[in-house]
Amino acid sequence: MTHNHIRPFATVILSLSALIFFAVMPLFASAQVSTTSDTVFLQVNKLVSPAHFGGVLNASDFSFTITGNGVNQVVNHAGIIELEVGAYSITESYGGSDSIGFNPLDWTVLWSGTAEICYSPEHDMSAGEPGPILVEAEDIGRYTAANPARCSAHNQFKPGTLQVTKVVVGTSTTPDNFSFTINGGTAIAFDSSGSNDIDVPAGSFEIVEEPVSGYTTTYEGCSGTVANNEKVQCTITNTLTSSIPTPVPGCTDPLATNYNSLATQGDGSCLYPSASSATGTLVVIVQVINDDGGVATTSDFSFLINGGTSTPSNGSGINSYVVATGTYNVLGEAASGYTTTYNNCTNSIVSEGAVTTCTITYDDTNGGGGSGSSDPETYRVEGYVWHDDNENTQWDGFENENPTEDEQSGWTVEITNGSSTFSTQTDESGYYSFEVEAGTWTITEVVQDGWTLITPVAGSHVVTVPDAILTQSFSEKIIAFLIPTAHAAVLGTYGPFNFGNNESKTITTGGSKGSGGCRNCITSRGTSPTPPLDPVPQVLGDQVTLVPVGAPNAGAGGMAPTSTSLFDLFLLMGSVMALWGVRRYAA
Amino acid sequence: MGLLFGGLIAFLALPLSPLDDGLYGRFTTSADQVLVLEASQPVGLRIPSLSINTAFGDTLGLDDEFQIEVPRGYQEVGWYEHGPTPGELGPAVILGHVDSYTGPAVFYTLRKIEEGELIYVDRADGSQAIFRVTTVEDIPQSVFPTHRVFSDIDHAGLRLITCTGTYDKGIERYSHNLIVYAELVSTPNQVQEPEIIK
Repeated sequence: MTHNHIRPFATVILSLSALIFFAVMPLFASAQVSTTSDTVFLQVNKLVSPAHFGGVLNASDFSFTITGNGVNQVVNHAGIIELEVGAYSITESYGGSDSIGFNPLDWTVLWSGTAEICYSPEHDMSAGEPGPILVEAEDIGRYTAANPARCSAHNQFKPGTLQVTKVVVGTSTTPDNFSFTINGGTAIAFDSSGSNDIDVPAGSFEIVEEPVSGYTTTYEGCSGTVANNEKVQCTITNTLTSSIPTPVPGCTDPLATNYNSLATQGDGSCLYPSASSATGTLVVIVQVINDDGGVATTSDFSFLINGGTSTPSNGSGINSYVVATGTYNVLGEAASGYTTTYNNCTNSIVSEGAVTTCTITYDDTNGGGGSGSSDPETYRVEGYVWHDDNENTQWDGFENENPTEDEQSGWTVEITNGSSTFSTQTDESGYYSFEVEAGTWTITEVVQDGWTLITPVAGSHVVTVPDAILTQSFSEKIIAFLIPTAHAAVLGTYGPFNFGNNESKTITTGGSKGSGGCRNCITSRGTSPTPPLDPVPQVLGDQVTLVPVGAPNAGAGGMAPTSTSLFDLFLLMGSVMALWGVRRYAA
Repeated sequence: MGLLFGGLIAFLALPLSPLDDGLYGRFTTSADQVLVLEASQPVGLRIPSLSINTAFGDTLGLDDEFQIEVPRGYQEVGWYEHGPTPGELGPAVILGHVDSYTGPAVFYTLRKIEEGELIYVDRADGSQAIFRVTTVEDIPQSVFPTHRVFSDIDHAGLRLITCTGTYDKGIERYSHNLIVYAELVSTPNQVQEPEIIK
């Protein structure tokens, strides 16, 4: 009986439940469709960094106002808003207590989050400007309440700025001859305009000029504190005191045997023929051999006697001194482009009444740069300096011999192998060349004021001759073989080792996506010389299961590959055709 | 019918707050309170201070000589697949080229990065890991610090590696590597940086 009553009751309950379920479910389904069919869900987050806000602010102190497309709504941190297709702006507001006295204008807001909606390179919501939100039709359905898109705001303080101004009184010396330091940091040269703007973290500062002789220096506003987003003026004034001659050290006593009539500051080097000691004569002969294009004269070289003051040779090259008897060592100062040899200059004995002669010979070396003479067994290293106006590291049009970017003439280029250094200047076409002996040479340019070196990234080119890749084209090799006299002096030409420069400004990442190809990095792996490596991967723990050996080689510098000349192309085609003909004949 | 009811209850009980779980990657906190994320491959890398905003190319493995592969593209970066993903406990390693024959590559400006700057890594699970630069090292390739880069660490670390120094055209190799060390500090659903106890 009981069962008979329960069964109908259960049947009714289940039926009602089913009825309710099937009646309600479509409503839920309908509700889901209606809220997701034409909107996206966007969550706005706030990132608060203690390092930036002193640890006293909370994310909940911030809110965001989203406007546009008929919407004007305030959203709190971590809040979610539904947006239809369209463009919106988002601004940040601060509603917390002002306990640390900060000013929202002192910072910029960096945004991150879901690409295309909140952030993209084309819509970078930075510098405190209202941030764009762009909802497109394809976003509908992709970002739901359970999986919303997101925009996150992160604040960074704007730096303070120190405007350092140089005033020079009483002379035409330009400001760029002076430099200064901030809080004892690296010296900063003044711009030629005489005014530098330096961004610094908020806080105390002290600006000090690097010591300059002959001037008095006064400071105005050059120490104190600078706040975020504040610009502080500092003026450093230099006034020419007088024509204070630079002291010339040496022996200033006319009674001394080594009296220097030009010396204005005694340095304790005077030698006296005491009554009890005998004297002799030390003659230092400076001899110069210019048989490789050198132009220096004897007075361009200096020497030291017993480690004393550096003394320039006189024009005749014969330098005579009455000295106390004893042992003398004479050392000639090294000179770029010259080798130094000695004769009787070490532990030379000066006897009473006798004359002792020491001879220093300076002989110029070859490879003096420019278009000077060239000896056999030399190699030409050449290149250009140009204005890389678009900073793409390419001399646009150079390959077609029709450059669209200007050459830079009169720029100094140097080459060194560590022991010998040569210097030259680019000609009117921006061209330079050196003729050097075999070895490894580093080529650098002297970057002129107001310019920034763009390429090579490393700042210099390194070439090993004759082991490096010879960039002499195949046709040039043929010509050199047929007409050997044409290349008799220079065994090979290496280059072009070009230097691209642009007027100073911030360098940004260039190039377009997908462009370029680093042939070296990919194809040379496993073939290029590598540093000493362990033969097998090391075991360093569990987190990295396979540990590489050696260092990665992620980059390829240098210049663009040179184009194949038409003549080379003909030679190549001829070779291919000839080979094809041989194969057909053989077949 | 019971299943239908169960489904209905489960449907109504679904969490609607994205902060609860999943959207930014699940946080796990070990006994010593080190902030880490679950594994998820990186898909995007952004360094706002350097205007770097790039995608990840193919993952990087080892070649026949046990040397790490380098990215095939020059405007993309590569993640070393035999290490942790960015945000996981351990050193996640990312490589990018500094330049190519055609001009600057993705890490051309990396040498300008400074300690304290932020690196954002978007991950395949939709989460974002934010790292702060702790050290920038410029070191000869001949003494590449394998231990410092690849050995076990007690936090979620990141290493960005590219080439720098002098390029020797003869051996087609740079003299130095630039290595940027960073550590996980925050993710978008964290309102304050966690205190990392080491």
